[in-house]
Amino acid sequence: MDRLSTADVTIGYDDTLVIKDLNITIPDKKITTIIGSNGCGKSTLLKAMTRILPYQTGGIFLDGKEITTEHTKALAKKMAILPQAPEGAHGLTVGELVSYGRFPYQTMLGHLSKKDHDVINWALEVTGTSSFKYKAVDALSGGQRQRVWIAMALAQETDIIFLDEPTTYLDMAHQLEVLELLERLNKEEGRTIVMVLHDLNHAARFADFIIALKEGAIVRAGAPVDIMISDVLKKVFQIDAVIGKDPRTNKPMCLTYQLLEGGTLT
Amino acid sequence: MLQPINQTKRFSLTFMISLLLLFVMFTFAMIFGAADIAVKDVLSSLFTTETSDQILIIREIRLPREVAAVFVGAALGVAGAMMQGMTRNPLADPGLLGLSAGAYAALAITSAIFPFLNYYMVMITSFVGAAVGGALVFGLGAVKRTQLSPVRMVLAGAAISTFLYAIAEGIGLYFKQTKDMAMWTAGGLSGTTWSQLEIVIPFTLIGIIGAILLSSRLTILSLSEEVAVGLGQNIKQTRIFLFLFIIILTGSAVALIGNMTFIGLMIPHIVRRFVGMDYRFIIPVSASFGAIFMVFADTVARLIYAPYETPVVAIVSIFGLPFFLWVVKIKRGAFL
Repeated sequence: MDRLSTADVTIGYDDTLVIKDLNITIPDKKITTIIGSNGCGKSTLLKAMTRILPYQTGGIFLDGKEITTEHTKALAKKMAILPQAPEGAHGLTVGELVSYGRFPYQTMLGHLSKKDHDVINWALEVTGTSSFKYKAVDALSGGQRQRVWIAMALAQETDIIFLDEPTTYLDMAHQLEVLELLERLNKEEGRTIVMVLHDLNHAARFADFIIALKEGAIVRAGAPVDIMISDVLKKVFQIDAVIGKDPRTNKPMCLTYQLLEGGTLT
Repeated sequence: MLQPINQTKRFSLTFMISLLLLFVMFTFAMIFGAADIAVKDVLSSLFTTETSDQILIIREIRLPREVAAVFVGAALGVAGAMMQGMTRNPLADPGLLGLSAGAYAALAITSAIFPFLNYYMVMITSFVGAAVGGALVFGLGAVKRTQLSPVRMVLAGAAISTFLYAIAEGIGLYFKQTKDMAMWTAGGLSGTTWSQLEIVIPFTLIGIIGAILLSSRLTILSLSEEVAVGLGQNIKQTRIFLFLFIIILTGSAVALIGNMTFIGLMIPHIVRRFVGMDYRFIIPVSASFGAIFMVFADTVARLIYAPYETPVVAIVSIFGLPFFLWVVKIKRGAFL
C-alpha cells in the first residue's frame, strides 16, 4: 500500500504557478528520484510534499490524510527532509546537530532521554560519523558534513526521507558514498527515499522509480528503463542522448549527449 | 581529535561562575559610590532593621538602582540573543532594530497626554511602542522579496529609530517636557524606586522564563527555516511567541532605563564564546552576563567623575560601538 500521493496539486510562489494539477504516487519502501532541467519545479514539488511550501489547490496525502491538516510535529515523525546544501550549523558539534533530529519527540525544554541518545548514536553509526561526534560541523569536509545532516534526518526515525540534491558540491567519490548510504538505508531498513538529483546516471543507477518533470508537469514517471529513453530525455532536457547499459549494474545509462539541433534552451 | 567536552557541563560551569561574578560585582557596586559606605553598612542594610544615613542610602537609593541594573542587563541580553537567533542576524539588538526607539517614543507620547499615568500603563505603553518600532523595521525589511542583509537591516533600524526619536523630541518640545525625557535617557538608572521595580521585575521574569521555554525551538529555527519545519516546528507560532517575549523584555528595560543600545548585541556574542551555539545554553548565560555588564557599567558611570554621574549610555557605547564594528569588519558578521 503506497502511503504518499498528490491529487491535482497546484503549487506556486506569489502569482507564478510552478506546478499545475500534478498527480503522482510515491511507491512505498522504494527509492524515487525526481529529475528535470533547472526551474522545472523539482525542488518545489519536494518542498510541497514536505509542507515547507504551501500549495494552492488539490491535495497531498500521507496515509490518507492531507498533510496540511496533520499536526506538524506528528508529521515530522513520519517524514524527514534534508534541504538543499543546508547551512547554519556553524559552531555546533556533530553530536549536537544530530541530536536536533529528536526534536519531534521532545518536550519543551528539549531534554534527551536514554532512547534519544541511543537513536542518535545509532544514526551516527549508520552514517559512519561516530568518530566526529565531538568535532565541530564546520571542521568537516563536504562529504562528511552531508553524512552528518543525513544522520540528523535519520535520528528523526521516519519511514520516509526526502533529500533535495544531496550530492551537490561533492566530488565523484563522495557523491557515490552518499548515494550508497541512502541505498543501504532503503534496502536494509526499508526506508522510502525521495530525492531530487541532477545526474541522470545516478538517478538511473540508484532509483527504482523516476519522475521526469518539465515545466511543472510530469513527462513520464516509471522505472529507469522507461525513463532513460532518448525520446523522453529529448522532451525533458532537450538533449539528444545515446543510451547504453552500465556494464557493472546493467542499469541504463547515458553514454553521451548533445544539444538538439536547432533547439534552443527554454 | 578534540576531547569530548560535555556541552551541558560546560554550560553549568559557565553559568555558576557567572552567578558568582554577578554576586561579587553587585557587592562591589553596593560599596563604591559617591557616598562613603562600609561593607558593614551593606550587610546591616540587607540583614538587619537598623537605620542610619548610610543604611538608608543603600536601601532606598543604591540597592533598587543596582537591582534595576541586574534586571535591565538580563532583559537586554536575553532579548538580543532571541533577536539574533530568530532573524539569523548577528547584528540584531533591540536598540539597533527600532524596538527601544519605539518604546521611547510611545512613552513620550503618553507622558505628554497623560502626565500622571500609573506605572502599569507606562509598561504597557512601552510594550506597544517596542512592538510598533520592531514591526516598522521588519516591515521595511520585508518590502523587498529577498531578505535584507544584516547591515542593511541595521540601517533600516537606524532610519526608523531616528524618525521615532524625532517624534519623541517633537512631542517633548511641544508639551515642554524635554527636560524630563532627557533626564530619563541620560540619567539611566538613577532615581529607580522599589515601587517601580515591583511592577517591572515580574514582566522581566516572565520574559526570561518564556525565552528559556522557547530556547530549544529557537536553536532549531536559527539553523534554517526549512530544517525547523522539517523537524516539525510550527515556525509561525514560534516567531509570534519570540516576538512577544522580546517586546516584553525590551519594553520593561526601556521603562526603567530609557534607551540602551549595544547590550543586546554584545552579550550574546560573548556568551557564544563560552557555551556554543545552542540557545538552551545561550539564553540563561546571556541573562547573567547581561546583568554583570549592566551593573559594571552603572558602577563605572557613578564612579568615573564622582560625585557627578556620567550617563551610563555613554559608558555602554564606549564598549558597544567598537564591538559593533568588530562584528561587522573582523568577524564579517559571523556568530562565533
